Amino acid sequence: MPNKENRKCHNPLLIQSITTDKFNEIFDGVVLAYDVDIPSKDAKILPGIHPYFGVRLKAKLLLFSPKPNMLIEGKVVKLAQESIHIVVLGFSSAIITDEEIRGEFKYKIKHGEGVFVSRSHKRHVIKVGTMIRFLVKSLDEEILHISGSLNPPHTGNILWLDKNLEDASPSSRSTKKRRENGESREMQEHDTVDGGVFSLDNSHQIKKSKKRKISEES
Amino acid sequence: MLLVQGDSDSYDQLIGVLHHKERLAPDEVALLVTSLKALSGAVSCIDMVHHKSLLSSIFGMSLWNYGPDVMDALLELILSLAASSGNYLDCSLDMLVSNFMPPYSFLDLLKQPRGLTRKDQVLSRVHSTLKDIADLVPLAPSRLVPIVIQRMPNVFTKEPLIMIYVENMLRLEGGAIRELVGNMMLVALMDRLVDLDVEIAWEEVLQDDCSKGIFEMELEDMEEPADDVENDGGELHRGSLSRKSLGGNLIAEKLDSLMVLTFEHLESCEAGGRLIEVFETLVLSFQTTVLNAFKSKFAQFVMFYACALDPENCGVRFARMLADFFVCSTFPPLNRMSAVAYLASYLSRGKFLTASFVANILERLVVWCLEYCKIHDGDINPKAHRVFYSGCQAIMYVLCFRMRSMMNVPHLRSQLLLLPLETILKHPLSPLKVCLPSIVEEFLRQAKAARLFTVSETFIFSDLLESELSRAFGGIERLDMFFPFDPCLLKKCDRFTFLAFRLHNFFRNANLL
Repeated sequence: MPNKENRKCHNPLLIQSITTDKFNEIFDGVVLAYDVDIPSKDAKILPGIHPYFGVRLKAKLLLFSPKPNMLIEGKVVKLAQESIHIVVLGFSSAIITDEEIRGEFKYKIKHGEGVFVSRSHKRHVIKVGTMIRFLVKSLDEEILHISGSLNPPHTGNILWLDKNLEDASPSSRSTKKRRENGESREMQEHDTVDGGVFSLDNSHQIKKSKKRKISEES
Repeated sequence: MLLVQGDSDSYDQLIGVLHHKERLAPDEVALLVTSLKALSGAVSCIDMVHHKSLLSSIFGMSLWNYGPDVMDALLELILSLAASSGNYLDCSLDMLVSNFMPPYSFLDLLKQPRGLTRKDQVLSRVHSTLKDIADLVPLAPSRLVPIVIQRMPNVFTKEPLIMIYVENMLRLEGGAIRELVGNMMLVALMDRLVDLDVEIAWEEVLQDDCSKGIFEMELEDMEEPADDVENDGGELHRGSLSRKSLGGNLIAEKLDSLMVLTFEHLESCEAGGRLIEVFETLVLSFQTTVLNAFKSKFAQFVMFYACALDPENCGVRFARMLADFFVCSTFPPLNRMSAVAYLASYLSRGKFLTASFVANILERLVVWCLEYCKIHDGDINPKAHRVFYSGCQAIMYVLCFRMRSMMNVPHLRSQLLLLPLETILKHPLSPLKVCLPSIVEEFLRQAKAARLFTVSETFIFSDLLESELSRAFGGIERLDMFFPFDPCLLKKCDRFTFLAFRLHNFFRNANLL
């Protein structure tokens, strides 16, 4: 489960259900955090069988929305010759099968545990606990399970890549610039949260009914 | 080894190997283990559509039929499948949950040491695999919960199967993934207890003989010195009672056994220092399930036992919750009446509650009743003022049990004497006329003897248990006659709760409290 301390919640009244770790169809992603601004306390009465109040609000959402061909980062939790299992952000799981691990990596047993070592760079090692960067092939939205790949050249152990690929292509290098499509990447200092690819959407205006919030909260 | 297309002979052979479960010879075991291990390595090659029969064979295997080698190999395969794709996660979890219970044919074996060994081998592996899956797929526990709940045996399943399933649920509650699934396990269990409870007819529980008053048996109880009574069986220590026994009622026996399982689990929670957090879930479940059903017969003893295990925290919390419920005007009247009936019975029966705590809660009830009297200056009306009458009855009922001990403690005596009982009980609303006559009579008798309260008019009840007026305020649900913590008729449960009082009293005496 994601680290709840990471969330900046200024308004405790907002629905808990937005931030359970489920893929939200409306926002096309998992809402990790939100920052809400209620510009006006004027409410509108919405017609219907049960009376609802509608309050306008603006929110900044931090969304987890991996798409095919995006690069993503996670921690290796299990490693075998046939597959590497990764956990992303503490709540999403990923698997990279042996066909998706490029030939550069060779499976070895070192000190009793399985590792993948690069044939060309002996220091480039992937084992349990390593943070790796990999490509998203597909996402199972229901259980947030990613099918990944280590085929592209600039994937692998993040620490090694960052140290050794100064001339890396823009798609894998972290930038502090926010791009037009809102993509950015943060390096998290926190122990328990892994890095990931985020998309920040500033311009969502949501009309939510307060009553529904309260009933859904209970 | 696995073939994706063509050579269906080998494929069928493989499936055949998986199906072979009766008395495997060592080489057959080896073949099975090898096949399973090979499959684990080739999980990415398994196709959901093309290998449907293979998959259904795998997911249909019961760990109970095999030895540890095969179990380990099979579970390794299940783990690989679960972590490989969303398609197999639910099936894998489902397979593990269905292994909570042995095949029907295994039931007799469970009573033998061999069967118990097998049970331990299976269940320890099932639960560690569930944990392993949760490590690889963090969302798995949230998928697990609905599967466990859906697969719960219904109330008509054989007792040993229900027991073993609930054992597993409790194991999840206390196990490695308890933070993610524990609450729901408890809630589902309480729901099931209430389901069983509801299946037992009230006729089997209530006494035919209404001429025996509510307090007759209790007075026998109260006069016995605390340490004299021997725990020689569930029914005998209660003196001679014309109490119906529920022997032979299968549902009651199942409920009895399940509640004992729950009690034992509560004990382990208490030993692990977790009882308070577990209790919060129980309180919530009680409010939504038991309180809403108005009249539970036995399920409430789960709360009672938890309170007995930790009187200062759980015991206090439970009483306060019930009192809060009663005084809150936004709750429906029936629920409030039900809450105060639970409260009154609890305060009376919970010997682990201190007299001063009981006095404080009583005072809360009195204050509420007094407020009510001030606002309403009407006449007798059982229906309209039923919440008020239930409150008055609760106060009188508790005092019937506790008055004597309270009057012996100086500061409690003064607290009692200061209570505006006269104002309430002699008010035009006339609770003395409306409340259950047997309670009113006993209260007046004791109150007179203690010089707490006297009435000028004599209330002649002629040993009536109930009256038209009490029936009127009690309503169809007869909440005027609801004493939920009267000694439990479930034999095994009763031994637990009975022992809890006595032990508590013993320790209290030992500490010279």
